[in-house]
Amino acid sequence: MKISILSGKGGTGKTTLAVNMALSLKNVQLLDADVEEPDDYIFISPDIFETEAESVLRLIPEVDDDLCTACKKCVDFCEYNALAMMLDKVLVFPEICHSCGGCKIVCPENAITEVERELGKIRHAVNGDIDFWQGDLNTGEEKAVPVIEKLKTKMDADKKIIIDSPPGTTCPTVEAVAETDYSIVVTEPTPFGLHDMDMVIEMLREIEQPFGVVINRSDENSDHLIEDYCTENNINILLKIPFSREIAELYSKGTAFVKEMESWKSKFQLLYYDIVREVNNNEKNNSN
Amino acid sequence: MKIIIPSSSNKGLEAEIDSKFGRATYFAVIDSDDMSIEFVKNDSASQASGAGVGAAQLCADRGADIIIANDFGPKAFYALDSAGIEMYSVSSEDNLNSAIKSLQSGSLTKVTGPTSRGKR
Repeated sequence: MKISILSGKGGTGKTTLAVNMALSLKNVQLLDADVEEPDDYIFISPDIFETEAESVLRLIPEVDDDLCTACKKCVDFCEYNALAMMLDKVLVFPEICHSCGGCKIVCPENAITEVERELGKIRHAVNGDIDFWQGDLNTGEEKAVPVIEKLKTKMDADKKIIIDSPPGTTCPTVEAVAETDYSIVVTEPTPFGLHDMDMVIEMLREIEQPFGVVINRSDENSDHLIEDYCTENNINILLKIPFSREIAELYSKGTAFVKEMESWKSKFQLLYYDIVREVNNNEKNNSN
Repeated sequence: MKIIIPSSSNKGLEAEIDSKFGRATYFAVIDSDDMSIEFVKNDSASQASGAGVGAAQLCADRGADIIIANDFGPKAFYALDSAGIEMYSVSSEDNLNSAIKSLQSGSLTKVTGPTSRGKR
């Protein structure tokens, strides 16, 4: 079973849900795909940056100025403006490059070769029952998708897989969610939380991904914001994590709250098995 | 001498300066010898990425000697600097006319590095 956890805006509680759920289950694999700011490690494996990392490489063009005749075909071809022609010299902007290789193909002088460039790293740690993997994007890099693709090659289908996705609705989030069996949308009961959840749900419906909602910082005076929306749109609210000082204090110390509040483990286990049941039911319905 | 200034409209020398270089609506191409002015639409403005580089390419292709703008991101700065184009910074409240006058009176600051982090 592969479950992805996502949210519209950052800071709603993806990490909280991902690490506490992972710590409540047996034989679990946690993948932190929030590669621009991975922070599951704080709760799972604080020393992860001391371990050896695997590079994520991609190809970017390199221009041989002696062969280049400044015809500008490569610059005109590049949809992403990753190349510019200044004073008859091609400039390459690697951060913008999508590694499509098109410039190399259109160059009539064979002046372009592709060179490997590291754009991120994959790190690994084991903590008890958790097989933990993390992708991190190097500072200054803009293309998160290849790091997430590489991270997903580490998935072990025999384990309960939890993917902590990047926030938002753009390509990296879609990449993290793709091919997972189910998504959990984490939100908070604020107008901002509702607005950004709405965007995520629109994206999930577009890619026909089954999902449910978890309300973090739940508060009885404001939950109606999310509840009304979910009732109206026929969306299941799977769990509420309360707005609690105790949880916030534990978080600020880098402690996953299930470690101190043991009774929550069974709630996360129930959440997991509710999802398994729903996914199995969906599969049955689809095959009928 | 050719001066290019990002502008938010194409209404002559009274046009306001567009505070975003890469995503400016227009570029005003001004010939300082006769003060003739031509507005070029910035096709990079709506592009998902690399707007600063695309805009810099447009300015270089138009033969700019000087660019006056409110803000130069790192990629635009590098591209324009590589083309040997001089950059000057101006307040976004200025219009084209006042920016040119400030340039001619020597009161504009020459830009020697990126003035912002740029946008994705």
